[in-house]
Amino acid sequence: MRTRYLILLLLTSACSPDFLEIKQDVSIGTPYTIQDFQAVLDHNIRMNSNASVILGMVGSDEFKVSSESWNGLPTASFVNKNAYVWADDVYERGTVDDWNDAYERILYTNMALEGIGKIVFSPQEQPDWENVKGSALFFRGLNFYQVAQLFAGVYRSATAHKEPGIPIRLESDVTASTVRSTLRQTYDRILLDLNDALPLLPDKSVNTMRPSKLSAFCLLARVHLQMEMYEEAYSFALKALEIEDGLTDYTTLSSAGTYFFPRDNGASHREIVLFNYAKAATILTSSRLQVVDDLIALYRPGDKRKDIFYTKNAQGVYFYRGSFTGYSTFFVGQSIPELYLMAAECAVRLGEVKEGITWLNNLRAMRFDPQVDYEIDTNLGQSVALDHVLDERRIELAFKGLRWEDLRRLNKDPRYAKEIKREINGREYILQPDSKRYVWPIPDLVIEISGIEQNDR
Amino acid sequence: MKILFFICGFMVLSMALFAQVEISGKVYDRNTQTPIAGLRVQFVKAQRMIGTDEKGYFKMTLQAADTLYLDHIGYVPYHTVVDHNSRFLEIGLEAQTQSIDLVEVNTGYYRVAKERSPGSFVHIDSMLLNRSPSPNILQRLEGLAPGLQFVNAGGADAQDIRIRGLGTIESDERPLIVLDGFPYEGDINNIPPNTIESVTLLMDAAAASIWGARAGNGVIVITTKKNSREQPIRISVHTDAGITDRPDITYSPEWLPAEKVMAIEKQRYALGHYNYADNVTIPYYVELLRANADGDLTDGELAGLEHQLKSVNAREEIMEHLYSPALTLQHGINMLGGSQRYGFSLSASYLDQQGSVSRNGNKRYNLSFRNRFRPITALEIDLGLSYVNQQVRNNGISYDDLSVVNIGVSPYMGLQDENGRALPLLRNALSHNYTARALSLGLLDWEYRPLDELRTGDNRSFSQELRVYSTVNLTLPWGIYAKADYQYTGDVAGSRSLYTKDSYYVRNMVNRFTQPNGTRIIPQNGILYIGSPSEAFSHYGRMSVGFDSPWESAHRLHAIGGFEVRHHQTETFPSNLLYNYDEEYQIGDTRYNYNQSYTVRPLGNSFITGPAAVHRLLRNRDVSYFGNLGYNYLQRYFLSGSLRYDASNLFGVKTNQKGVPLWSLGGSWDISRERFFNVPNIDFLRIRATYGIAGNVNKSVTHFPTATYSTSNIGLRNATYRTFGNPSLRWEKVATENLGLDFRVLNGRLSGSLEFYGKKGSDLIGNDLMDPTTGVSTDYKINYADIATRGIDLQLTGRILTGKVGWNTVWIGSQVSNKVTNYYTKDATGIGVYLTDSPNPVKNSSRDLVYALPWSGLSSENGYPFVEMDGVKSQQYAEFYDRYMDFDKLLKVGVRVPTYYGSIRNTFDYKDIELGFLITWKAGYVFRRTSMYPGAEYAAYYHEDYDRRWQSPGDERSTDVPAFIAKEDMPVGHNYLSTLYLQSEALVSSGSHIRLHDINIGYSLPASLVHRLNMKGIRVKLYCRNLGVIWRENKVGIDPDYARSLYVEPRFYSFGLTGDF
Repeated sequence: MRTRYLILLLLTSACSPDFLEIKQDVSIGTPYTIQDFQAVLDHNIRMNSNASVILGMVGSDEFKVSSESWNGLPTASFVNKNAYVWADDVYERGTVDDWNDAYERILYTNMALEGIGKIVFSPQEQPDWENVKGSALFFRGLNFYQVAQLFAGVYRSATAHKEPGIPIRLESDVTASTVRSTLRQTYDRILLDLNDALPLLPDKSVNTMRPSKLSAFCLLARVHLQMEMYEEAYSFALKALEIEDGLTDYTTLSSAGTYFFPRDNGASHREIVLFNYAKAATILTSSRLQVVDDLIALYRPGDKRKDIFYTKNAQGVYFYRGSFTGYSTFFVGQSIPELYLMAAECAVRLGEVKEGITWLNNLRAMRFDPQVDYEIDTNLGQSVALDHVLDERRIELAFKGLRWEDLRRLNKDPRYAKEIKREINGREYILQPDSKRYVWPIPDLVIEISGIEQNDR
Repeated sequence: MKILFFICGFMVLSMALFAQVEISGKVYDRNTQTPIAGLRVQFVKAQRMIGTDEKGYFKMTLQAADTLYLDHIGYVPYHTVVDHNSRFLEIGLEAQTQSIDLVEVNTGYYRVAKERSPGSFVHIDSMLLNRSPSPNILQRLEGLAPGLQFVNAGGADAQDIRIRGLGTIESDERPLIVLDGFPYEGDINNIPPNTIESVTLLMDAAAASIWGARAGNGVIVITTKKNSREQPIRISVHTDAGITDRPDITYSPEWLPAEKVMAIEKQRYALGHYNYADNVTIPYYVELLRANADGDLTDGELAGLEHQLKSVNAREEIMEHLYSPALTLQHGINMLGGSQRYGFSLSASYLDQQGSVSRNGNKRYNLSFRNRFRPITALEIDLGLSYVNQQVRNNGISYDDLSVVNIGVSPYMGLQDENGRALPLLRNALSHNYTARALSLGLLDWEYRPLDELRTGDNRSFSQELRVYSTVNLTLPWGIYAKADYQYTGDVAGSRSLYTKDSYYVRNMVNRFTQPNGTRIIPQNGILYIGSPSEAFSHYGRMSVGFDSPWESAHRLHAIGGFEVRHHQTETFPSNLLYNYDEEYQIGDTRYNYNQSYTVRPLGNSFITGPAAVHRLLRNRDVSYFGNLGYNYLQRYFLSGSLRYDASNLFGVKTNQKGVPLWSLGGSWDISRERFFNVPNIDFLRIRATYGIAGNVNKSVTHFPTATYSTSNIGLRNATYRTFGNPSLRWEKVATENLGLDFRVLNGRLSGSLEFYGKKGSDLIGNDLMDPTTGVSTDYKINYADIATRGIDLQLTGRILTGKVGWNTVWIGSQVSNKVTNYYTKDATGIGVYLTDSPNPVKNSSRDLVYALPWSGLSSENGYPFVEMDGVKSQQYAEFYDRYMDFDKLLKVGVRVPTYYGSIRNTFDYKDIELGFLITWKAGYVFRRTSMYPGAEYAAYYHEDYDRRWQSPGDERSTDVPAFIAKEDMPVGHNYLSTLYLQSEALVSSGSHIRLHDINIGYSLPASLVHRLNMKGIRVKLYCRNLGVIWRENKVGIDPDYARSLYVEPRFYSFGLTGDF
């Protein structure tokens, strides 16, 4: 009987125009509300992970691998392998995740920006609407910045207008062609996105996955530091520190097992400004990556960071233990200590040595055993003070995805220019400070399809 | 019926007015001596026709002498001259013994005599289906039909099959399966073959396009057994016991014996290739070498162990203990019967099938009941019900289950010692050194011993399917009938895994989550996992009105039109998980904190596995309107046409993109029925041609951007873009043309058909190759290509001997090839995309094309491949691969799917014994084999070809297998070396081969004996399948159907018994 009604129901309903309007998959929709676009940006597996810093991390001077480990890398890790020796052909036509992931995130932000632009919001909805727009602009700026650190040259204000930058995509239309902007246009766009985001974002966000004024100030400071605009960088760092300057006393940390930080997606470690972590690159796995001696040598006795971030094997080789993520993946987001270090560096470079060293000492106070004398003399000369600041920066920000961009900007200064050497199977590989290999090639597929100009190698 | 007589009577009366010749007579079956009613008597010159009455009589008055022509399904056509001298004719018609051409085929919408439709059909009756006792219906079709290609040998699923080649590139390639008039969405294994009356393959547009948007890949119509209207109850029971040989897993060349693997591992150990950590699995032998180096194992002890390990052959042990011959039991009963008012068919069957992996298997129970009521002559109601219950048990351990990342299966690690005690094997991400110390660390035994594990768990999945269907058929006056069809299907499926407290699964969980202070987070008790249950149901409704011209005239018309609606939905629910489960009382615990990250051993931290937070509802709705028209004139000229409109609840498209109109047109001409046709020995000759358009649905494409919603790891709502929208998308269309010739000669001794067809898929949807800077690097769908498939199907049936010894033979041959005719996407200049198992489509070449790199041999200096650039040999791999090679220089070595295939089926009979065998053949294709590539040892990939590798200068003359890579030679472009060899022409071989597919022997017990048992018949059957390759073109000893398999499908023998009551 029931069946008969069902047939009847089916036949009658089939005639109504709504019959085919039912959604095929309930979990699928066409995003159109403010909440929908917030959900697009809250997709933290995309927006806050697989950060585009891997080529830089592999190419930097923070670690080495033995020839045996390098030879024994799985076949599929050839990009890692080639990047480690800054090879001529890095990708061997393989996929370049740093590029692809960043531009995928940029497409997401463009989808959100276009979508949110069409929404007429009520006054109650304004904060939500602004948060979506501000977050999208922030993420777009962040990704342009990260791509620029890998695939475009080092910023020099005098020549930036004639050097190639990166493709700047500001619309979601996937059929639009790809063109390279100039380096000046690239940095102008990064600053524009971040400045536009600032007034829209809350001071602090409800979770560390979402951007905030704090993270925008922090990133603005970082970009200006890279551009060697120390006054601006200092002012942004201070604005950020006004919002939040709390550090964790590392002497209070303890480990139940392997790691010192909780594995809770950045929810409870107070120093995290914006949670972001890097893809697990094979060459950077804890069993292969050996921390270089000159980095280990910087740690003074009583520095808790050596134990918290490294393990030592029987042969005295240091390996990486784990990061703010609470396990072995690399935290490469923004953090309060980075703000301290930027403030310190800018202050010293601007001649405010005492102020700069004070920032440094405030940070060190939370990193050393209290019985050790950790304080640095605030009356040092500017140049020695800068040495201290940069050493501290290397220690504190080790394996946080910043070393590559630091190498690039510091190499401009002969005092800090560094030659990186590697030895594999008896052959020595050297990366000179002024090497063109500080700019990674653009992925082969991009060149082939879009025809844009490849970087010199 | 009455109306018919009325018309006949009227005609007779009117003719009488001009009466000059009165012809009357009676038509009967010569064999049975029974009158034939309803037979059409044609008078050729007068172009008049009359039907015989219930007693076979007819009467006609003509104005002049004429030719009387009789043609009736099942009988040899008859003609004679009639004139004044003819008075009462007694015509005895000879029954036609050739059955294949007389069948009615079922399109799912209507039945039509095969000879009277211009469409291309292949009909396989239950006799032929029952040649093979396979419990899967599709498997029984292999080698029986032209144009039906098994892309995967022994295929048991629609995706293993191609009907007449390809009509699409990236959309669903599966043919549509129709069961009792409705598309079947369930598991094909749920259809018990013993309930099936026939299978009809709809090959061309005229046959298939009534199925519209889903017919683009061909249609397989399965019809279950029906009650014949009037007959006493007939019962048939059958039982079948089959045995599958133990699979020979030593077939795979991807294996090296213990001694060689140990030598490689020793070398790697010496080179320092291994990382040592508690969470890194390293080969057992390397552990021993380390222990020796650390002084924990003396040289003497090591030598003793080495000697012992070298004698082990793990693969043979695995084959012996974990694989076994498998038993398949099938029992069934069918009952048919009925009177004029009521008829029924009832079948029940049981299947118990063991897997080749010991302790795997499945059981299937089925009950179907079908009733036909005819309360009044004009009304017929068909009501049916079918229930299937399937239970799959998955408790075995296969070879692949024992493989460990970066090690594979260690050939020197056996399953048991000489005393029969189970031995431990390695597991992923745990060093053996560590697990061996587990007890001393206060942990549970952490060893994995496969032989002990066989009985520590119970993994089952089950599915139940209920199908209820009804058809109401109302016959109205003037040849009109109305039909309402309805079908409901309901499916529930789920799975359950129980791990007992001693199982490795539980011990591993307990140990992993034992905290540094010794606290156990997971108690050592059973774990019960209830897999995500799913529920699916569908409603199908169809209303149609048909017309079948009732009058006796040279013009005959049948038409059907109607509409149908469909709703199909699947809902998946969250899974469930009980820890601390006590099997005896069935109690367990769900109170665990899945959000807490615990420290785990040996390293790191992790969350406890929780139930899957899945709830998913998928709903498909379709509305279709259809119409079909058939017309014939004098049973000689046939025309057919169909129209269909399909609309679906596609999401993210504009309303006018939801539907598509489709059509077909066809005609045939029965030349042998022409008066002028008077060629001796040609009984039947017909040509036919059809053309039409079917479609292909791709629900993954959208006009607007769409996103999938989920909950993130921090509990917020997430959206992932699934598509970014493409406003210019269209439906895929497949246009099919077919030209056929059917003939029967020498009084039915030889018959056959030859068909030429072409299939054009246009507006095909596929992924565009994107510039990743757009943000889309993998998935952007556009209508970018067209594909054309051409082919020839030939079937010849010969009754070579018809005497005491009968010999029938059926030859089937098909040729098929496809060509991508349009391909709009931006092309990659890199050759990598062509050197994969599914290369990018290329305009003007086959979709199945296999590309290879040219092979220039090995260097006599270092044993690595040469590459040749502009006639110069070198070893500049990167230069060669990245810059020199381009698409044009790639070798196009063949296609991966046979372009010629077919079968020869012979059946011999002598008295009550029948012997048949089926030979299948495939030709015109290539396959790529595996080999040992340089550097593979480092990936722990082992292959027999290791023994054939280049080892010293001169070897290059006899081998293509490159040298192994020593540490110091390791070039930066390591990736190139393996690609250059593995993707080279050196590893491509012809796939052509001939196979003895099966043999069957049947014996019907003598009638005298059977009657004494009060039975109608007893039949004994012996069957044997997978008898191996008779001939193959390749000289490398590989069965092309199993070029990369662990083993060749083992032989299967069965013994069956059928009894009719």
